[in-house]
Amino acid sequence: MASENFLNLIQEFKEIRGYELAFFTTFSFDPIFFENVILRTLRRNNPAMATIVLVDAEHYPKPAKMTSSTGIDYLLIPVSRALFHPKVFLFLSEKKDLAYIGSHNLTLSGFTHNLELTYKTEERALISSCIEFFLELFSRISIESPIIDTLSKKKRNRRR
Amino acid sequence: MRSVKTGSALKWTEKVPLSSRIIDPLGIYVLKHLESYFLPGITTQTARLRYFSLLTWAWKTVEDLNLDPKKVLDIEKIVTLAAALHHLNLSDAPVGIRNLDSATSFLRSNDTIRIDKYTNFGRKNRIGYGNYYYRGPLASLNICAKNASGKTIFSEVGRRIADIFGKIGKNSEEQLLKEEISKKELEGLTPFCFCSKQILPEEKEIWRLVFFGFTKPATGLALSLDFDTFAKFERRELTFPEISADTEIDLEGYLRDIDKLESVFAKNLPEMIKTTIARRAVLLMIMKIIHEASPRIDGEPLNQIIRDCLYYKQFTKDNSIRKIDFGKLREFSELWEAFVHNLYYINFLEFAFDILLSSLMLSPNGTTIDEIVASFDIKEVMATLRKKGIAMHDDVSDIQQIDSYIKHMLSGNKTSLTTFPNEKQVALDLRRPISREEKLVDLIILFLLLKYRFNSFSEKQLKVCDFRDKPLCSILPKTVYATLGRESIPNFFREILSLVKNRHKLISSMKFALNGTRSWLLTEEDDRLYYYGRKYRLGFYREAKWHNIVELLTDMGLITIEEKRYRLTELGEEWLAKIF
Repeated sequence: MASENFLNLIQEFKEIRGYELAFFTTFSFDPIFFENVILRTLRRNNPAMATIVLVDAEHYPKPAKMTSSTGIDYLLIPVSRALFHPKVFLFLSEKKDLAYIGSHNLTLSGFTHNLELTYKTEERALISSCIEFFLELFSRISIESPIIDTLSKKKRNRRR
Repeated sequence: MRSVKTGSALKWTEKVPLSSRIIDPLGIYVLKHLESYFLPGITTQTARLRYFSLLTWAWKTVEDLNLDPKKVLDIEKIVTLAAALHHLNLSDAPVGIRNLDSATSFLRSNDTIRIDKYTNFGRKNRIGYGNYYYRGPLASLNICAKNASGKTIFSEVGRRIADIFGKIGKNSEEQLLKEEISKKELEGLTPFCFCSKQILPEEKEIWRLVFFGFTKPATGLALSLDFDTFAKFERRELTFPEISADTEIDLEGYLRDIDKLESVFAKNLPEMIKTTIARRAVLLMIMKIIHEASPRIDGEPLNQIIRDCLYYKQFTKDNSIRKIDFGKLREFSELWEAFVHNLYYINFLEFAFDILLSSLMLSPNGTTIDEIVASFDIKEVMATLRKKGIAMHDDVSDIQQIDSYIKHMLSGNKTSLTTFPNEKQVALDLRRPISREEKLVDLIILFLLLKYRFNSFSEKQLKVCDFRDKPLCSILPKTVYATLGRESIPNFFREILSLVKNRHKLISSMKFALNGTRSWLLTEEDDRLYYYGRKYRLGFYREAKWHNIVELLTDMGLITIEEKRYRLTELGEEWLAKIF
């Protein structure tokens, strides 16, 4: 496979900047990896970025696996009822938006080892679908947060 | 491979290769900060004194003649070839000569030596290993360093050293700057070899003054010789001020520096002065050990003898156990007792990590900590404890009870080489191919003995066992002793295995984020642990600097080898007598 068919997600995250909101969905979740690699990398260029991670309820970290930052430096929400398997990473700001949709979990293997697929997009229509997807998800799990209000506002703005 | 920044397309995520070498998988060598702090200029790679002289001269020559800095690589190559010729067919080449093998094979296959053809050298033929390993230490020693504009500047002492080196051979400058040289001409360059024999008396003398800190350090790379203090030393009037280990070491800074060779711990002038005096004290402490123990080069490892002297104030010589008294350096040596505690503590955590990795290797379908602990034969663990006379009753079920037995056995005294159990014997046992249950027992005993010793430490000593760690899965001794010391036996194993697992994940993640190195030995997916397939060699002696100190003192003419024993030279004895 040619190198142009590959995307290094960590390298990508090192380079993205200027985003205010980030939403992640994952099936399995490794708080140590997420906080010390992904979040740390992203916050270098996006220091005030509010972050929400939605994780399959069965894979919500047990207290023994939580760190002092887990669910404190970012919002960590378990999603139950059915197996929660989507992997969408959405970054939003006033001026630009970006999404990665693929098969990658927020784990070491998902990011560096497994054969995973990803689709990187800034396409307006697809980003709007992603916003819809998250808003629907939040309404289903009845979560309220100022971040979700911002997301709704973003949706309204995009319609104008 | 570069990532694609724009454009939408379905792509594979890129696999990040694992590092070929995994250094310090638990981020625990930070507990050795005392040796970095108190031995500025001496690293685990600086074994030969001549490199310090050669590189000072080479950089000075390049600056003076306005040559391409790459010329330093050629100079190092030509001196390495001269060293190879000096030791050709001889097995007496000392340790620490870089690229000696490649130089020897180059000499064997080339009649005329063209330096540009010798490309199997250093770090991909861009920088010599000598230059790579000794530049940082030369800056720490205030000999020479690059300034903000990239120009190499020299202290007064640095200039003197360059002058001394330049006088080694006739027309050194002309000879060492040649692009092409015959083997006959190369023979004339063997006085430049890195071995002790070739070091000039005045070269030894100046380095003795530098390393023993008979210098006046100052900020801005000023360093001059301090003959007043040296005269005091000569008159046996030199005293040692109280030296403490007031460092502000944090895990993150340490991990950033982990692949660098010279961690910059001493940053300001008072620290520079303090660490210079501390280095003097360490060198004299090692000389005292050599004087008393005369370690055999083919006997008990030098590192172990040094550990014994610093930790137990005892050593084994000719099958008998003897005492050592550090005299004026007694208080200073107490800091090193805490340092050796840290070395055994590193061993303890690494043995636990090894038990975890060994269990993972046997589980290709993954496993959990609970499954690993369930596979331990706790009855056999108890039986082994009883066999060792540590837990005499069947009702012993937790670590606190075993702790009480050990305290009772030691009757309030510190462990020594004659007490049973002691840290040395238990740690050495753990290196042997013993059963897993015996290993588990040794792990508990080592933990409790270290905790016991730690509890005897003074405030000053406790600083040696401290650094700013991450609150998550901290391996700080005070934290680990407090949390694991109260557990039931299965829980003790569960907790210690979880700790090393999480710690490794944290350190690997931090290294990846800070340095981009991917150094995981295990992975955790859906609550199951998997071995990552990368070999990790469990080491034991983590104090590589001691050997280099002995080599450097040998080059300085203070230590020699006689009848397969390290001994002080006549001059070494004279120097030691000025303090003891």
